[in-house]
Amino acid sequence: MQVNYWNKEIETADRAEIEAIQLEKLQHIIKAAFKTPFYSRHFKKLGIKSPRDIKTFEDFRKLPLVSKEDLRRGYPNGFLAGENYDDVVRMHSSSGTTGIPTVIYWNREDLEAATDLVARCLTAAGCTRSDIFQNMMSYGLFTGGLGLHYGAERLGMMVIPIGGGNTIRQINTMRDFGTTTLHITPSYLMHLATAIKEHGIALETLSLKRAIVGAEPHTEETRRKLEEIFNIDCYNCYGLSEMNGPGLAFECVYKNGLHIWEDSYILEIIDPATGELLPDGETGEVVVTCLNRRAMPLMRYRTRDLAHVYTDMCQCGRTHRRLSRIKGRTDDMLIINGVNVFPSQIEEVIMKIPEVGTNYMIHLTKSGAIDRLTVKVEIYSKMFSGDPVELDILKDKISEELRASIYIHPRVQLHEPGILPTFEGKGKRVVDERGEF
Amino acid sequence: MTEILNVFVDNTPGRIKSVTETLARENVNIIAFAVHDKGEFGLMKLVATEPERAKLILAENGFACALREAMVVAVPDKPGNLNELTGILLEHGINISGIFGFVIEGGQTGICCLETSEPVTKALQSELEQAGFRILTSMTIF
Repeated sequence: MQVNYWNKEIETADRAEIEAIQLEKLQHIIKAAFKTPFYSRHFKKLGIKSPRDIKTFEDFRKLPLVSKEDLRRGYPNGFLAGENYDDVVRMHSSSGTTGIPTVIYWNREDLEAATDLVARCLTAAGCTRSDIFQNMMSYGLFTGGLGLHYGAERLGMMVIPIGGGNTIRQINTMRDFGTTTLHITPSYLMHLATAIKEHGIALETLSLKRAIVGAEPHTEETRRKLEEIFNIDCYNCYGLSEMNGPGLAFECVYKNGLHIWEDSYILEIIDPATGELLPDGETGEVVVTCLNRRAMPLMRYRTRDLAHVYTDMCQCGRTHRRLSRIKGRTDDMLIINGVNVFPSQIEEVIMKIPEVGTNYMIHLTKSGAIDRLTVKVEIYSKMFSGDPVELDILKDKISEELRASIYIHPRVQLHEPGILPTFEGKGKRVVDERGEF
Repeated sequence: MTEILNVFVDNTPGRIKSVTETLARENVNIIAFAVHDKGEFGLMKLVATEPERAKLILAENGFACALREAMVVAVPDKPGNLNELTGILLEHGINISGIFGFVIEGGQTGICCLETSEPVTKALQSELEQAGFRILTSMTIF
């Protein structure tokens, strides 16, 4: 397999070199942190008087874990390094759908470093300057749109800044400009498969080679399904606006875990309940420190995402450790009759069943004191034989396989292809109607 | 012998219309139809003049549908005739897995659409013909 590097020296540096870079960059971040209201308060409490007090990783782990609530409480300038916006060249912010938004600031060097990392990610995923990049993520305050745009431009691809939505225009653009690379959410890519067909275009006539699939957690089965439908490579990427958005971790052409760029981030996996550091290989909450952003330093940030670190070396030769797919969020875990269930576990099971289509919904209701789980799936047109008995068997099979995986016997409902809502943004597939306790 | 087109439809308002609308747009003639209620969805059974074309049109429009072999029989509308028809099938050890029928004009001819678990042999077909039942192919229904 062809492996290209953007910055070979850094991407293949040995552990000691990486750690030296981390500790050196950390000095600059701590220095900037002294200028923020949040950290200056905490440093005082912890007796940290200068960046030199944080020289080792042991020192580093004395710093407080920072939560989303801390960021919200600091809205808008609690984490800004400086009195004003003079050095800031860009801000981004979360949608704030669940309350106060979180804000991110970048100075010119920060933006430069973030852009360079995205170019590194895209190179790892096999992109070259000959590729045509159709950026189907929304622009604006969301970091994913502009972040990938800048990185793709830096790499030298032709960037089509089309943004999200307007499916017909997306398809025509792909056809007319020979788009090779998409940046898209998994659910929109699913939707696109049907839309392209309806539009009367054969997939083979398009030039698509790969899709950068992000902004929503998805399973390996969903990826395989997408790759099969489009006959392309789909690359998973992981980022969050608090950590500069895209560029935090990306899959290389071997598609076996997401390389987290450790020259630019410090990765920790902790036990979400106790905050204790977990060894590589164990699943816990992803905690990240950004080493590339001085306008708004953020260290030991709790992402609420659950994942584990792969311990083996990647065939691509990169030494930066790999993160597993996000298995769930500490806050999207469902408790059904006392059992912890992540929606991703349900997705994993149903996407393995060939008779099932691409969309699904999870409904929770209460019947007396008992929680009822209903999983709605679409049937896959090509597997439909017209035999009603087969459909009953299919329902039982799905229900049984879910029970084996999540220890809850769900009610399964079958639906027509294309009937369940598709999500062009973040999928909201869980409807919890159990009310408050 | 002919084929019945089975279409998977959600049990919500407008889904049957979306099937009939799609077929109407392409001028497909529906001769008989029924919907079997399966809870959250239904199985719509269509006898169309051009089953293969009807299937392609629906499939292209994203419907889950499949053709299944069936027998459409013209039954003279007289008391006891339906009983005779089912009796002959029983004698041949054939299980009827689905059946629906109707009479267009009283005292004339009824139409009976049958799905069977076992294949309908040529011998059985000729026996039915001799007993006064006419086995229709889609093109000869009307």
